[in-house]
Amino acid sequence: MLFHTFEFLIFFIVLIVILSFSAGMTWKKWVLLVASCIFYMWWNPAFILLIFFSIGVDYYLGEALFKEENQAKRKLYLVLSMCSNLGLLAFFKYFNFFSDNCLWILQLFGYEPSWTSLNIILPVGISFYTFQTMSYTIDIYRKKLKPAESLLDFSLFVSFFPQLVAGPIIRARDFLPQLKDKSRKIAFSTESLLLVTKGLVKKIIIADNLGIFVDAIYATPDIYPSFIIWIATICFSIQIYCDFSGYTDIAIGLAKMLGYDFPLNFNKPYFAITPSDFWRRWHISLSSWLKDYLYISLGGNRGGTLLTYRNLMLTMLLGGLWHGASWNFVAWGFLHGLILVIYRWFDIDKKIASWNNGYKFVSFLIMQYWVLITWITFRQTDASLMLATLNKFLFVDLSLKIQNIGLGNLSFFSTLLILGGFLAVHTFSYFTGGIEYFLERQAKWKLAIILFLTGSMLFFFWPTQESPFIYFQF
Amino acid sequence: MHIRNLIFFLVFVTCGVLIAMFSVPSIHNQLGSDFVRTELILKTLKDKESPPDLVLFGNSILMNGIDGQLLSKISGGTKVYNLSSSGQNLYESSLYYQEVPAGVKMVVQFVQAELLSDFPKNRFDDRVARNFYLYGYRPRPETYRLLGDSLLNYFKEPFYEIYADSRAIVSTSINQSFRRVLRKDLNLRALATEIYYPYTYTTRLDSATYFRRIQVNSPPELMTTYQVSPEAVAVLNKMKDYFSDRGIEYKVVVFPINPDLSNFSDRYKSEAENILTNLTTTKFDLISMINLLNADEFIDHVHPTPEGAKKMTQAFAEKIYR
Repeated sequence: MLFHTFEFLIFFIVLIVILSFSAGMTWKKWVLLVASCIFYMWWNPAFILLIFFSIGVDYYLGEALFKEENQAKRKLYLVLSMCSNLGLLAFFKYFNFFSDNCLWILQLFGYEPSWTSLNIILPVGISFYTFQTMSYTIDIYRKKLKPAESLLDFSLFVSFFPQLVAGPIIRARDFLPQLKDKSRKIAFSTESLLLVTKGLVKKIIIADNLGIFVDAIYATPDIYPSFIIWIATICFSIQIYCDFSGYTDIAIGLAKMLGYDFPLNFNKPYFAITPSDFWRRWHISLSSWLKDYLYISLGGNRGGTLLTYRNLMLTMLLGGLWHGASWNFVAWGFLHGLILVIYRWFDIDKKIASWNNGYKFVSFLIMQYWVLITWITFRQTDASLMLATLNKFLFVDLSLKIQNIGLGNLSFFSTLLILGGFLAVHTFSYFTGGIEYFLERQAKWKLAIILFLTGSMLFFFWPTQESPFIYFQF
Repeated sequence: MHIRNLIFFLVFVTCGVLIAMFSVPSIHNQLGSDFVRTELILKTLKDKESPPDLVLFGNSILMNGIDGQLLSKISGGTKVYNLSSSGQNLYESSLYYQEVPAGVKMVVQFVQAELLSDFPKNRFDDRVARNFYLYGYRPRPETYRLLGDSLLNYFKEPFYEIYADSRAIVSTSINQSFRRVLRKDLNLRALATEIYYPYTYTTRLDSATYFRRIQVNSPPELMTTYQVSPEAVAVLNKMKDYFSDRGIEYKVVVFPINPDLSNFSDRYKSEAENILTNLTTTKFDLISMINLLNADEFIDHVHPTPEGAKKMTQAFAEKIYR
């Protein structure tokens, strides 16, 4: 069930009606849990069993970890939790990738084994909820968290539908206390409604429309001049941002309506001036997860310069692989790891504070250029198309010829308008501290006009073909 | 619960959606698009004051290929309307047939040879039906009899569904309006104004682009396996009978094919010509122009140059008025 579908609207209305008639926190949690299961089973009922498995394993191992004093046994429980979660991920997400690459290596050495790939369906949201359950047991192991008070609380923490399939990856220490807070009630605050509206605009008007252009250009990059490839790449960077942050905005808004707070997941990442700044702004819940549970577990920056570089690189490579079982995601992670290492090598993060605005602007441009290159590796899963796109992007051909290349049929001009509109609103939003906070302060009649125009825009720019959120595939 | 907040949001967003939806027909007619020609054709046919003698239907090849005024001059003053439009295939043309006014002496349908073989490709898509609907067109019973219910099902959809399906009109208009500014090689004004010689393609493509088009548009094996489909014969006969009942002559013309299309072998030429000749003598009046033009008389893979158009018009006049 997608947030921007009619069926979800009905689902949410029914849920609100049931919740408004229910008294007591336990009842509310049960209703939310059942609703979350229905939400997930709408896609594929069988895979709810995987979530139940993950919930069961981590809930009971978490309790055991908390009670156990013996360090060796605690370690064993932690390893069991990691194995079950990573085992699920490894089988459902990486098995075919691993077997295909093994086959390729064997063929390199002249072996031709009889080999068939398994037809494994990737369960939606598996990368998100396994990371959530892992962080729960690791936090208990590190004695930073007490276990959930009940299986019901823990089940709801893992399966709460607004964040179940594409994050943000919430932490138990942030969410579990909210389940005990009796003051949290259903509330349609202006902020929550604006967040949902903003998310819909980002997804429907911006991401889906830019996606049509990107798909067309990236399918045959070699026939277009470099500047069209540049525009398509910028469009993709905006598309993926609006698609994912749009989903997150809706998720945060819906959770707020139900009385819960999710952490910020995006903070205008394209205003970043250094790689570490970028990762403090992009998919914050994942990057902080990787930092807390992978980078620090590997030793962080405690083992000297070379080990720090290794840890950075490993974290980014695995972060890339988290997105999907494909070498292009590994390349994406590698490029991000590389730039982090280079910046650390020259200690730019520390020096930049003393730079004047001109240098900061140059740093901003360099960062954005690098991010655009990485997005090409992220988007183009086919190696030959990736190289053709990179070739046009890096070695600019200075051709401005756009006649006879069919741009009139590829939504080129509406794409440029949407792109321009997004950049204007996004910059405005950056300097005003967020568009929803700006709108919240406006007079009712102004807000009414904006909502009216938003409704009209949503109608006219709602693509005729439904496209799911990009991060659903991860 | 702040329920008033929710109602406030829902009311204004929904109003925005509804007003946008109900303004679709007027926006469609005001903004204009490549489909604007449909409106011109419908208006021209509805003008009962001075009906033409000869009406030509077909796609953009005809737009570029037959000069109605030259034809008129050759024939000594008959009034000829070239009511072709981009992508107008046989079934789309058939939608206009009910509007052909009394007094017209002959209707000529231009078709591409491959569409007589791969006949299902003549079905128009919902986009075309939507466009006709928004210009106020409604099929009459005679058109249902001619084309059958399945092809015209879209016209029976509730109006709000058609309006909702048409929501892309704003972005389409934006793209097509800007394209008009950039594509100086296209004479797009003709779409909305010209009923005699509405040519849009004006300059021959550069060599590289031309040969890329040729390569992309050469259907493999088409030329050696070519056969006119029995469905095409049946449908064309039905059209002929329809006009015959109305006292109007109906003819079908097959467009010239660019000899540069790689599969256009001599063998195919004679085979296709034979098939078409047989059809002409046994089934209906079918005029073939397949071998008429040389490669240098094409702007791209299909559209004739002005010289090609002159040759086509003269050849057509010879067949019609001899």
